[in-house]
Amino acid sequence: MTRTEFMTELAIRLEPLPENDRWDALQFYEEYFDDAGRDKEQDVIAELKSPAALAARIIGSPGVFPPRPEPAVDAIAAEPENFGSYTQRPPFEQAAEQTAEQPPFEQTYAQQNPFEQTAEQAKEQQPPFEQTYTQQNPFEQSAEQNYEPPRQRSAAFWILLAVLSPIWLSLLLGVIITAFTVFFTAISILFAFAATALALMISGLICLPVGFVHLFSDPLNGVFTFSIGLLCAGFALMLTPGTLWLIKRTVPAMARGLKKMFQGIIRFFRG
Amino acid sequence: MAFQIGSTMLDACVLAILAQGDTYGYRITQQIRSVVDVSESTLYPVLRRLQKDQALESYDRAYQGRNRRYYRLTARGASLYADYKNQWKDFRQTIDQIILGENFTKGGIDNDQN
Repeated sequence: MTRTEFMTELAIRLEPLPENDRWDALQFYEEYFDDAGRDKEQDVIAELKSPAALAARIIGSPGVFPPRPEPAVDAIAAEPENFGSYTQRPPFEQAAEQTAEQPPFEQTYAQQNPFEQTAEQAKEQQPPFEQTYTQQNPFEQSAEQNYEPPRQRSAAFWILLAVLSPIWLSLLLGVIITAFTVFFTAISILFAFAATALALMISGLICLPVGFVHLFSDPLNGVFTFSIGLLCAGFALMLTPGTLWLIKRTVPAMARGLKKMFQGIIRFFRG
Repeated sequence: MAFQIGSTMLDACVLAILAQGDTYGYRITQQIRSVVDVSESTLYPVLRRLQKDQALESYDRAYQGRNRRYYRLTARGASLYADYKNQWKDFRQTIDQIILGENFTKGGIDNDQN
């Protein structure tokens, strides 16, 4: 691995950090390579082990960068402690504790590593050598913004809204009025069906008994009236259930549709 | 080496080096590594932490057409170093008593065996 490859991969692996911290770390190691000199380049890389290990150590160091909330189980944390002589408590802490004051050199450098991506996972997610790493610090925001804070409508939004109101206001009114028109038309059609069914039922209910009564005294008229009655009653019986079903299905759905439309409008303004 | 170094000791070493004069990251690392066997990847987090604790601050100087970041002790860092020096003297004395058997009275152990 060359220095450039090392630093490029390190730059990628440090992406979880805030931009300032990431830049600071990268600059430190760029200068480190520079100061070591070109002939020591491979020695430095050997000593740093790998960009993944170095990034894990930087991100995982306690009290330096804010720890990530996810639990850490990964190959890097599971590596045997490799700080050189940088870990265990001195074996004479018992004797030291016998004295009144506690010597301060007993702290362990806890290797809790909250860096939760394994080297393999990170490698899968990002092809390591396709991004270029420049020495300029752009202070630019990282491309991935997975977390979006809830949006508030800013003052600029409202000003823009007011300025453009002739356009959107009339459009909005047009849409609302059209929606209501469709709704009322549908209601009217349903009403027409219902009225027809009712009219037919009433006609049938009247003609049937009247026709029946006149069947014997005035057969021609009686039969005619009776048959009209039958016709009307038959149509009424066909129309009524269908109309009732139509009303039951369409009216609530249309009402819901109108409600959703208004909710959508309100949500747009609220942000 | 049988004896190992804790993180606080490492802090003290870094502060001690900077107390001799401002220097840059590579030099600090090399000096530490000349006496203690730590990995090169250890030093940056230590420097960073000391910086966040405001024991150090950094500044940039041009060197051979590129930038070089130097570190220097702050007032807080200097007083921290003075503390560490005192604590180290006491600690060293205590350890010397046991390991080297200097001024080590039997009464000390016997008192503990009650």
